[in-house]
Amino acid sequence: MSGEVSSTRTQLQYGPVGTSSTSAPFTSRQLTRLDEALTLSSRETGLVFAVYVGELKEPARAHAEALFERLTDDAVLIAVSPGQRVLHIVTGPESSKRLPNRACALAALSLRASFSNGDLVGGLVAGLRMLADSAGRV
Amino acid sequence: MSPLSVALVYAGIPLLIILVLFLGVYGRSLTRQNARYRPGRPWNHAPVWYVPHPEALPNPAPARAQIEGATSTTTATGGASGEW
Repeated sequence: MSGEVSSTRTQLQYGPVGTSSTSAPFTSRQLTRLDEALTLSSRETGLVFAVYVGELKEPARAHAEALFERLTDDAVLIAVSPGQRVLHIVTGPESSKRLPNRACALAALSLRASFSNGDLVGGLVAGLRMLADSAGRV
Repeated sequence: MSPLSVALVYAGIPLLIILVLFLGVYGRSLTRQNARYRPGRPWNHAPVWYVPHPEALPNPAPARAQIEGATSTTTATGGASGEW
């Protein structure tokens, strides 16, 4: 029920869908958690948090920054490529004032810790909470 | 007792109980495919974006439209990276 809401409202399929496996990477319960974390941290901070899970073409950092350029100045992108085992946090002109690189590095460390245990959604939820805490309230 | 009813009582009933217990323990995971990520395994899913609900945003920027239409609206200025 709530999973359906989050999948129709927040799951944006991008790119060639169906070339590999079309099965959703997360269960509906995981999607609900992710949805809640995204919405809460965005509401608290006034920044737009976005998460991208998928392949990043080499060089991965450049691809993550290209993805970020579709968002807004006050956006924060967490780009995760589980296959390549890389993650990138990207901030823009407005969001970097609230989130210095040091805060992003700390969140990246926490993401890495969860991801290396295989817990993608848990890591994302914890990372979003950390980023929201560092950015502070509006 | 006929041999058939002996077989039903001594083999049928235990098998039935075993089946019920097996379904109780493993039933849900048999029907639901587990997409748990394990480090080092390939990731065979299409790329996916997750963005907050528009109602949650103070200035409801059309994040969805921006993601779907590939136009540059900002530049990256900072962030962090990591590998695991």
